Amino acid sequence: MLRAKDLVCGYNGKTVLDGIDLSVERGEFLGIIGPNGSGKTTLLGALTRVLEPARGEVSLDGKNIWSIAPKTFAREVSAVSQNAPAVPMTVEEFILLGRVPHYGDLQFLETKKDLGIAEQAMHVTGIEGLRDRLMTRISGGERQLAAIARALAQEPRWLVLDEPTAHLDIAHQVRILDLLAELNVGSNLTVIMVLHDLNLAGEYCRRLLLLHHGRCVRKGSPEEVLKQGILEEVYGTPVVTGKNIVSSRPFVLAVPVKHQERKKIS
Amino acid sequence: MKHRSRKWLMWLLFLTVIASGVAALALAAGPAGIPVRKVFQILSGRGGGIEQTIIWDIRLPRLLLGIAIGGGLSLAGVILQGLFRNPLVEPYTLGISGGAAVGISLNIVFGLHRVGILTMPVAGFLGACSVIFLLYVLSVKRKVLSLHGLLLTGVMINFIASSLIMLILAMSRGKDLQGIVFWIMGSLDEPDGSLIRLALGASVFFLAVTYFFHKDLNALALGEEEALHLGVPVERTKRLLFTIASLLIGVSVAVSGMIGFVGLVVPHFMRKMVGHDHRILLAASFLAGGAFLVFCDTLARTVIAPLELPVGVVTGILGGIIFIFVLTRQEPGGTH
Repeated sequence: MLRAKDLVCGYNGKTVLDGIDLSVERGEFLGIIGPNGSGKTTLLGALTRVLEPARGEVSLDGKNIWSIAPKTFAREVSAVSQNAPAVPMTVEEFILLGRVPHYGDLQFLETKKDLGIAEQAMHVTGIEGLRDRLMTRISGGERQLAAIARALAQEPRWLVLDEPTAHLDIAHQVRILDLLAELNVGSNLTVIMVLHDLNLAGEYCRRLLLLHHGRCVRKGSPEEVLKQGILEEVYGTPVVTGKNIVSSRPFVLAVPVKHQERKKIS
Repeated sequence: MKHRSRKWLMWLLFLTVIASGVAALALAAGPAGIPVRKVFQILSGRGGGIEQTIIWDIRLPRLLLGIAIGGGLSLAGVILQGLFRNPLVEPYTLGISGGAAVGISLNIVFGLHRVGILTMPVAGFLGACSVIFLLYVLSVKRKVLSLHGLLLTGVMINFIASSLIMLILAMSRGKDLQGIVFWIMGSLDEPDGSLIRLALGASVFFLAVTYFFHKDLNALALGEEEALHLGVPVERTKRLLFTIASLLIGVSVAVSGMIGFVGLVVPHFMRKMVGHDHRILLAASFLAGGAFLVFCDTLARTVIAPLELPVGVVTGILGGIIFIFVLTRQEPGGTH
């Protein structure tokens, strides 16, 4: 269980997260949503041992994550940042870096096992064909898939992602989220991710956490969280909610200013 | 990926051959030309006379110092470029060499070098260490070593140091002036055997130590946060690597002055040739840096013999031309 207790976090003395309580069980598929600047990325930083909390603590299976060695932690929890780095190395070299936390202290070359796991990660994400391409020369969607493959090569039990679908077209969005859903069920990988797109969040996540001004406003199933009243208050803009007739999951639409009068009347 | 380690071995072999060739040339060439065959005879203990003295007492120590300084500066360049993720950072960017130069200049002006020639490298090393200390203290905030701050502070310290040197130059008399200028241009002419052994020992030792960080350097290429995600203890690694690079620079500059461009061009060039993986890049740069500096020094000794060009001039001109050549041939859109 990954657990945040009374978590207060910030940068340069400015508080961004203000008393978050959260516990994530193994096997969950949790989405973190909220307006820009509500502290989503900061929360991920605190959960992945990048940002040290000012108060409170984050624990993994009862152990404070800051008392776990970085290498050990990286074998349990792997993180995919918002923008996969465009670095001048091949996709395969990049994915093999995911094996770094598994290296022995004096290990110099990748073992057969390391190569096999990287191969498997490329296979699962469907990017075997890109192995010899440079990370700088592939598209944003492909780079995102490579970043996920690298995270999978760490063989984590927890996968934390920051907006894995940002800047991607709908086909890539669905491809990535389908893949995560599949890994969640098939390999019992716990997925925690920040999503901006409320519709995708409602469609894929089994549980949502809505952040506002660094506090948790609402936790629960998508149906419980994606409610018109709550969203309008948090985002400060009128919305229309409904149910996707195909998946019967909630959807959210924004209402442009010129139609807001009509919405009030109806 | 199996072919990769074979490729690395081939590179190492290739560079070793090049370095050996350059070394043979360096031992053979000079005002007193000695045929290569004779060089080997003397090295294996046969032969003798004046040529034996030239090889063992003059050219071999100079060759070893060239390998130590060229290799050390290139290694420092690889470490700093990897740490800062900036291919334009080089050993002299951070002002450490400037600190050494100020130390040496003061040493010359105050006439301490007349007390003993060893005060020169000592003063240089003290100057370098004070800058390292200053940099470190100014860049550590809230237990975090800010690389951005380090770079900015380093560049500023470098400016201040060069202004100080100019001030010292402006106020010093003819002979001192010449001494300072010659020292700043850099030279591998070092009569003291123990200093050469120290420089060689230090650079080989730090090469070995850096190899313990090959995977951390590779992970840091993705950025500090990504490296954290890969379980690299980023703060500790940054500090250690910064210290290693600084000491390498300090020793190099203290022993042989400011020999420019080796630490910038060689790592850059090697990255193009052998790739970005530090497992090969570290050794390749060390070998190539040593060979490059020895080659430049041989040119410097022989072009206008019996006079000698400052080796810093040769590395600057040759290195500069290579650098421009590589940069302008870079494919569009490629980084580094």
